[in-house]
Amino acid sequence: MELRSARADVIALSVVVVLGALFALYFVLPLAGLGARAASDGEVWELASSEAVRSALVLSLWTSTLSTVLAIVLGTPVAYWLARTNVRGRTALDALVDLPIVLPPTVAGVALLTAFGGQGLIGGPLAEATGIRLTFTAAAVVMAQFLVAAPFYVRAARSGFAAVDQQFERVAYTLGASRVETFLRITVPQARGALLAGVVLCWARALGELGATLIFAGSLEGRTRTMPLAIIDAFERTSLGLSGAVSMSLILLVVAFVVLVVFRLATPGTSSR
Amino acid sequence: MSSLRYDARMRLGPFEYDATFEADGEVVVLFGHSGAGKSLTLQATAGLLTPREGHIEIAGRTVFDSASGMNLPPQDRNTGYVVQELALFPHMTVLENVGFGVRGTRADRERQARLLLERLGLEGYEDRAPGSLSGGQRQRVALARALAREVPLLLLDEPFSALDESLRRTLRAELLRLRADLGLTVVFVTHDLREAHLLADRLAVFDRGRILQFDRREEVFRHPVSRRVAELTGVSNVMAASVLARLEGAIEVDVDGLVLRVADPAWHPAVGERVELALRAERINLRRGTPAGLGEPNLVEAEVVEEHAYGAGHTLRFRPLGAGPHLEVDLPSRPYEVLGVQERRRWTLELPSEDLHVMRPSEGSTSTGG
Amino acid sequence: MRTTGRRGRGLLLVALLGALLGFACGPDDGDPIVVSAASSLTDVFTELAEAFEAEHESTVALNFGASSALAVQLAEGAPAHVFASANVQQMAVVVGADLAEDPAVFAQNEIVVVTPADRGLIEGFEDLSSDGVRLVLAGPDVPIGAYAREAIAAANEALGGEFEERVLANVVSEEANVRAVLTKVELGEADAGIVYATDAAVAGDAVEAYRVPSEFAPPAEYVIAPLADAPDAAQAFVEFVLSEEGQAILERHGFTPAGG
Repeated sequence: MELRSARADVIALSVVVVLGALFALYFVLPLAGLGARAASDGEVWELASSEAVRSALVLSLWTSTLSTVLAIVLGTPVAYWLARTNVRGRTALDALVDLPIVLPPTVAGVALLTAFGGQGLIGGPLAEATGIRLTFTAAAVVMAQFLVAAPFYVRAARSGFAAVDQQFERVAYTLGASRVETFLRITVPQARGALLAGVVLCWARALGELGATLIFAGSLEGRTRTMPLAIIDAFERTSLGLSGAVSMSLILLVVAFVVLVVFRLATPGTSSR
Repeated sequence: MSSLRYDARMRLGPFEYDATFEADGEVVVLFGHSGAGKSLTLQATAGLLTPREGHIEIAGRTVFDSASGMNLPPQDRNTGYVVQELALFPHMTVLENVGFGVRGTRADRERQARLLLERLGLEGYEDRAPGSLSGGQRQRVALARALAREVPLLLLDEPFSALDESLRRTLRAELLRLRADLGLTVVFVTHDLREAHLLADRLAVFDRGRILQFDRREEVFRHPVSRRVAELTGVSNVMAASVLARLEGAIEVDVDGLVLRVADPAWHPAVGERVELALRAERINLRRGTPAGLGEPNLVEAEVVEEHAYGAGHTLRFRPLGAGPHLEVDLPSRPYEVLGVQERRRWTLELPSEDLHVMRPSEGSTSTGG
Repeated sequence: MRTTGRRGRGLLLVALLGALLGFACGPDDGDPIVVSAASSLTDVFTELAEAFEAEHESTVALNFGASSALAVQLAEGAPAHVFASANVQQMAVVVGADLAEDPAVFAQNEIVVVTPADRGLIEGFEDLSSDGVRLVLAGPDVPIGAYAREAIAAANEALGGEFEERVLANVVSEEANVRAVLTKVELGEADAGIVYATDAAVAGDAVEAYRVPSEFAPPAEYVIAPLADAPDAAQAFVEFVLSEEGQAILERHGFTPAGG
């Protein structure tokens, strides 16, 4: 078949449409499955209002929010520096920041243990000196979430800052604006879209974090059992089984969706620049 | 006191940049090809770049001195800097842009911004977004923003290059008016010769990181210091010659066999010495008759071998009938028609001795006019 | 020239994919018997499977996890042929779902408290109620987790009435299975955990083990059954586990044979 012919275009278009439909379907079906199960299974709604679910949800929401806030506070200066610097080790540093993204979460959890666990590089001396032990605490949950989720924000912020033409910053300097003022009044507003996208990505990743949390923070209702851990826990208990897991999955989905929508509405003007 | 004293050296790509000049209550134009170091000069003055070595003073205040380690950041140099791309902040209104650098309360900023906008004929545009403005309007906003801080020194980097001719004319006029009104010192970068001539009180000709000549506009145009400056400033006829004889206040030179009489330059070249002559294409006169018949010096018979019609005038290329160099002549359209150059192709060219500028020879110069 | 290059690359891709698929499929010696077994059976069932394969034609594929998690999997249709649970309750779930019948007890196990080797914080079951002890248990549905909680409850009266409350307050994490509990203790992250005696043996010198007094904790009973619609080889495997040879292997790993 001639690649140049109009027929090729028609075939190509059909292929794209079919593949696209399959792709979309593949994402819709699991959600439909959850919905169908919830509709047919009466237990799902009872379990939804249980104490276990409520504590898991509250824990999930505040830990993921805190992790995200930390990511913004600590990650923004780093992202800006990475975007502007020409230091020779820059590529290595970029890779380092990106590393947690490719790390399997369980590996991240093990790594956290070796660093901050009771016998860890930092954790050991810390426990000896102050008696503070980080594992099995809500702080550990935040640490695990931060490790896996912050890089998403830093990456997005970095590329957002890099996309801001330095001419604007230079002109701002000549107009008497300090570097800080320029950053806040010129660079950040122009990188807005990327920053907000990064925040959303980071928060979502923190909310869904499972592997590292399980290994580093453990799983205890009310203290370290976030929604994803609660879902796994429910799934593996014959007393709750799949019904419990479905119930919590739906709740998590709905809550996440609502938060995302509210976030989008509350931050106008973030359509693509 | 409104002045700039500039002296700097640094690396510029493959070249070594070394420039010294000054500006005082006037327009100094930095002129030259791209990459010659003109923008670099503005950036160093504004403080966005640190030269390896040098000394820069703005309004009597030292802002950079490599010897003592003094290097004020751009925030403290009090210059108005307008870049070629203008860099109007897209997320702010015109009013916010113009008021950006003004110190004080929000009310102060707005008041000052409105003042400047009025001055530049932009009342009513306060709440517009920069993206919704035309090229000329954006230019004015950029100017207003730079001027809002009441700075003594304005640095403009090819600000009008993206605009069409009529708009440029308008803005140039406005710039000159502003300069006069505000008593500014302006350093203006351009690669457009006409613009350079129009705006400059003094002109610095840049080439490969160096200033070849820095002088009043007329001097640079009439008396370029070297072949390169002559070429850069649009002198079409640069000819190699050798001195034949020395006379009273004048010398006779030989240009490819043609004898010309020119004023004796300051360094009084000896007989046999090589020199170079610069003659602007628009200074050559077309005469009827023959050199012998007319009996004046600096006449040569020639015929047109090439012609370019530019609408407002013609550029003609002449080949001498006897000895002598090829010459380029610029003739406005009316004289061209009146003289009937269309039909008559053979002329006697008059090379006025006051327009024949003698320069020292450059290294490796060859015969030109061609 | 260009087309041959493209074709060549295409062939290479197909060859690679074929090789990958070949790896994934593995040797084709008939379908293996899938055995879902409690995590505490990891080492002993590996040896049992090898011994079984040496004497029989079939191969055995092992799937380990908490008995409760396995039961849920089976209830949701996971394909397995044999289920070995660490307690009767989780087997009852599977039987109740009509997936198995006639389970047989095939081994018993003791439960112990383990602590990191040089910690010195705990020297016995009673010390679990001490202040500041970081105790890790398996989840309440996991057999070892259920056994542990039963023992703690049973000991409450005898140890002052506040024992159970204090011990449960010391729990810092509920792990997914017994091996996860063991790991946390081995790593020193937990001060104590409750696992089977056989698991403590696997960890060797990394942990100290203290028996839970038998008046509080009767021995754990392991049950096994072939699942519905399983091939005959599954029944053969169950019989092998219950045979003299199988029981000897279990005894060598520290389990008490079914007979007592």
